[in-house]
Amino acid sequence: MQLNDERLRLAYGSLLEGRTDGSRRSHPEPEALVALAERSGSEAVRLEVLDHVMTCDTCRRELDLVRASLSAAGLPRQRRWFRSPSIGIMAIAASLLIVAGVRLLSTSGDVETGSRLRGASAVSTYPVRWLPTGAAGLAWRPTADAVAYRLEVIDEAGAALVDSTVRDTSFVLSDSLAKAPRMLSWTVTATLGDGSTVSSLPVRLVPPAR
Amino acid sequence: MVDDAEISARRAPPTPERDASLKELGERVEQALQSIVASRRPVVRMYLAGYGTAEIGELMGWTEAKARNLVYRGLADLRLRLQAMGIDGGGDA
Repeated sequence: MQLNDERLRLAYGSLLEGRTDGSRRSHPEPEALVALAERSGSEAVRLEVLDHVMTCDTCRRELDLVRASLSAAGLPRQRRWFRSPSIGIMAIAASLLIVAGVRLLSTSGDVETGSRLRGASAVSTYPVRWLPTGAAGLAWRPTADAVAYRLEVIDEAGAALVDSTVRDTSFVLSDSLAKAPRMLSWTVTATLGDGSTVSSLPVRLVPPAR
Repeated sequence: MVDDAEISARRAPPTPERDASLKELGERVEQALQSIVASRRPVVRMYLAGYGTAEIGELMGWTEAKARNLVYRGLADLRLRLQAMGIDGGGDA
C-alpha cells in the first residue's frame, strides 16, 4: 500500500492515541507555552516547544487554553486551531480571561511557602490575565491525579479574601477584590487522589498600570 | 490523492490487526521523525496531526507559503528516511 499523506496521518494518529504523557520527557514551563501562543521569543525555542506539544496531550490542551484566552482579546488572530472536543468547554472558561496584557508576576518572598511545597510537584501558575473591567483571570497548569483545587487569595495581613474549591483550572477574581488598595497574593493547592496536597508558590496580584 | 487500496482500508471496519499495523507504522514514522531536521520536525508533526498549512503558518507567524514549503520539505525528508527503513515512501505531496 502506498504511503500517502492520509496513511501517514492515520498511522501517526494511531501512535498518538496509544501514547501516555507519563512516558514523555519533562513538560515545558507555562511561560514557554504562552510565548509559543504569542509568537514571542526565539523561533528556534518555539519550534522546540511545539515539537513537545504536538506529542503531548496535556501540553496541547494547555496550549489550546492559552490560545483561547489570547484569542478572546484578539491577540494573535485566531482561525481554526481547535481540534479537541473538550476545547469548547475550555474556550468558554478561557474566554473570561480576556487579555489586556501579559505580565509575569514575580513570586512573593514575604509569604511562608516552604512547608506547603513538595519539590517539583508544586502547582505551576500562568501569568495573571487582567480583564478590561479590572477583574483578574487566574489559571494554573493541571496537576496529575488532582481531584480538586483550592484557590486562596490573601491580603498582606494573611486574611483570606477568597477560599474556594474548584475542579477547573481557572478562576476569575472580581474587579472589586482585584483592584482593592491592598497587597494581595494568590495560591492554589491541588488535592490529589490519595488525599495529599501540593501548592503553588504565592503570586502577588499587581494590577496593570493605567 | 488517495489510492484505491487506501480507500478500501479506510472503509474497512477497524480490526485489532489493522490497528496494530497502523500503530506499528506509526512507531516507524516516529523513528523516522527523530532523524529529520529538527526545525522541520514539529511542522511535520502538526501536519500529520491534521493541521493545515494555514494553521501551521498562523501559529508560527509565517506566511502560508512558507509553512507549505516547510511541510513539503519535511515530508520529503520523512519519506526518504522511511524508504531507508524499507518502508514504501511514495506519497501525494
